[in-house]
Amino acid sequence: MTDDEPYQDAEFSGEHYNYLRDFYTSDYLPLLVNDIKASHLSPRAQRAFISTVVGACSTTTFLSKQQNVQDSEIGLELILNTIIPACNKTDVNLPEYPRLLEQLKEHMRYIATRTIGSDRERILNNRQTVEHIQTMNEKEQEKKRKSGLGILGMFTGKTGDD
Amino acid sequence: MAMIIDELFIFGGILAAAIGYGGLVIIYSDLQKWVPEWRTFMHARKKNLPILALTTPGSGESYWVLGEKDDKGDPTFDTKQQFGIQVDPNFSGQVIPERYKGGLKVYHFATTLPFAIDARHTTAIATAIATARQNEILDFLTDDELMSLLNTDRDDLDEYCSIFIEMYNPEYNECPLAAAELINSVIATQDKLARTAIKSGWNSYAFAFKNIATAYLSQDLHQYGLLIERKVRRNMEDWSKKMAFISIIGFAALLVLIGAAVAYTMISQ
Repeated sequence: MTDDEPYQDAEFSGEHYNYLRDFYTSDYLPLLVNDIKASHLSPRAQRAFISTVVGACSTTTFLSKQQNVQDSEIGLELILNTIIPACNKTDVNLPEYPRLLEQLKEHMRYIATRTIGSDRERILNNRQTVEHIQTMNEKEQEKKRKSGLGILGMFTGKTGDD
Repeated sequence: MAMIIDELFIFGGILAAAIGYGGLVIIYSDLQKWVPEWRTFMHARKKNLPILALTTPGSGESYWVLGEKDDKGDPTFDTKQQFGIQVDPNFSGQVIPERYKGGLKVYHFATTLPFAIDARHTTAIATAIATARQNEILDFLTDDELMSLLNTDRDDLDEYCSIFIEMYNPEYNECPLAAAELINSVIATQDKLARTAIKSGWNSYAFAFKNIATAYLSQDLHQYGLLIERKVRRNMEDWSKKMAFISIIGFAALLVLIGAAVAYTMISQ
């Protein structure tokens, strides 16, 4: 994986894995990172922004369990506060600066809502997906079992592959 | 023994008292109006506390605030958060205060910056800008931008200079300025500044505060403290909620035990 090819763009052969990848990552992250790179912020400020953005949208964050959204927001505000020492006056006077901050805040708010509760949305969805795939496999095996050795199918024209 | 006081004396006394009070009121109102900081200076000398001269970088106006602390060892002054957080120069580095009669010390802060500076810093900033301005290639930059570039690590200069060239598309000697020329000028200026002695001359705190490159404000530091406080408070709330829940369960269990004990005693009799 290179900088230009983040893992969000990686394609897996199985649809299930692609689904999981989309589930545990943010499709907005590459756009936000590109926005930061294309901005007129100083390189030091850009680095601070990118590392914060990547950390905030990491799989670890998605899989974390928070007590409530407010706690996550306080954590985010603290991290955003530590970006400022990496910026100079020219950076904070750019119109891109507040826009990037607000974009990040808003996006993080949505992510935070997925990390709360005992039966969290991501786990629930993941479990449903696994259960769905298991059920499909079971049905398929049942069909094959029913089809027996395939001798009857030779006469009726029905096989387990249908 | 009865005393006979002439009415004239009484009226005279009342008149003198009235004039005295009137005079006091006039002096007090004059003090309040024209020397509103008199209490600050009085307390500073009485309690041997420093005074913080807080300068607004934009207008250059200064406020005098008493450098009190909540606790003796606190690294910051308690200025009732009216201008964010100001760090005690004893903790932040070598800042020489201005000293006045009666042992009064004055530290210079900006209304927007958490750290104090002294006259050496103001002249150093003025010298840096004046020296950098001798390089005509850097003319298209504002003072803020110039200071930002001079504060940039050399590893990042390539990228940062390209950003400025892209933003302004500047010209020098009627030719478009190349990023490489700008980089070389900044490096040359950085080297020159490293060799230049601080020049004596005029100094202005407002000018210095205006041109300090950092964007981290005393208000940001204050906000950071508030966020930490909020986080701790929320954790404490969670903890106290848990404790309350455990106490209720414990109390209920105790009631059941007592009830069972009483019932057992009654049955066993």
